[in-house]
Amino acid sequence: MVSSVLWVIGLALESTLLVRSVVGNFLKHYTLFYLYLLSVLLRSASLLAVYHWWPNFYLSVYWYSQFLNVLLGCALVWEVYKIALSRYPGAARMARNVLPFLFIFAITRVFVKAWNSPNWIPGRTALETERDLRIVQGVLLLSLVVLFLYYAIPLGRNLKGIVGGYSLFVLTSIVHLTLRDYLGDNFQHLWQYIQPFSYVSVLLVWCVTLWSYAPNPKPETEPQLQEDYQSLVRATRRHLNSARAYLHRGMRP
Amino acid sequence: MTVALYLALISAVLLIISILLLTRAVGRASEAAVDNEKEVSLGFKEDALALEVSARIFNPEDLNFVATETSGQFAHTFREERTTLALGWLRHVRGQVRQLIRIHRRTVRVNSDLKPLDEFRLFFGFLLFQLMSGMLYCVIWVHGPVEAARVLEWSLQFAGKLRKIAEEAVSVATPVRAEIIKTDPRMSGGTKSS
Repeated sequence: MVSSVLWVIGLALESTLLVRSVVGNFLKHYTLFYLYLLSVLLRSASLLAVYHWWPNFYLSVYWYSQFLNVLLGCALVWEVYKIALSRYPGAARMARNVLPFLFIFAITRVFVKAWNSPNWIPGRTALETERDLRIVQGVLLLSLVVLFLYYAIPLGRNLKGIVGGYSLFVLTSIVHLTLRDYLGDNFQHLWQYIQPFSYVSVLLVWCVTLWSYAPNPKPETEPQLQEDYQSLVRATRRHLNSARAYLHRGMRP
Repeated sequence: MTVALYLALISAVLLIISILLLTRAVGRASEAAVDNEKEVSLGFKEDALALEVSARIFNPEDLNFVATETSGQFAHTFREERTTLALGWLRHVRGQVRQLIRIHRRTVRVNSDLKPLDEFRLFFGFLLFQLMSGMLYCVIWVHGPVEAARVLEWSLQFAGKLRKIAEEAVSVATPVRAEIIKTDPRMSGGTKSS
């Protein structure tokens, strides 16, 4: 009963978010995010129907549609990267060099694991694969967040909400899936409540942060700072070396 | 076991994010100071006066004099004050370097010519500096400035010796390799055919 109520609340919040984006005319700014949300909404609604009228197909429909959502989640991460770093070509270049490397590394591990699995069927192994894919998303999101913090990239309220909410969702998914994989059916009963509850929390975060359009702030860097990169690096390195030498000189009586 | 591993991983991730957020929050205060002064220079300023004072702080002469001429309690207080001064000086230097790197990051983030490899090198240089100065901070805090200066002197001498040994090993190995290349028949054949 409680899980069904949470399910319906989730549907209502997802619809509200989509309606707000259309009314506020900011759907075009976060197309992939709203596409992801629409797919989750359609999935949830269709799963409700499958659950009541074709319960035998529920498991297969659940897992296969879940993988589609995971892929759309990856697209969402890509959209965050694209929007947040659009005005920061230097940081974007760093992301383009680091993120594909991490993605290939993590996804290869998942595929090798699935390939080596003798009987991959929707069920237990699918659960493990989903968890691994969520870890891939988590790694990508974490790398992006570290990059944002390292280069002090200012994010608008909308993007903060998308990143924060989705990170929360990925993190709770990894915890749920790991515990369910480890504890088996004993955890299933608890999972029915925890998963929708955490998802509703994520939707609430999105509702608060995406109620209206809030674009990303413009870069604070002064135009005169756009110097030659190599000379900037050389200057910083030189100053770092002189700081080291200064420290040595100061401590040698 | 796997669960514990994953949970530990998640905890570590949360910890890293918290540290980064905290560092950023602390950094914002000094960033704001820079913005207010409109001072956007990329440089580490060497303060000659501070250098002179720091040399005095780390010099054992004053401490020895106070220890021989005054009571134990006074010498202890003197040592504590010197430690506070030394820690303050080190914090100032570390702060300047952090500021330098912060300005660098803010500058290069909009530069499309950014080279990730150079950034990584710079980051590791900065990390090394932070580690080294952090260790010095701990030594000063525990043993006082005079002892810390001795430790630094000893470690520099040790590093110098290690470098010397490595250079000697390389200079011994190079002629042997050259000899092997010289006497390799394939190499000499290759030279003839060309």
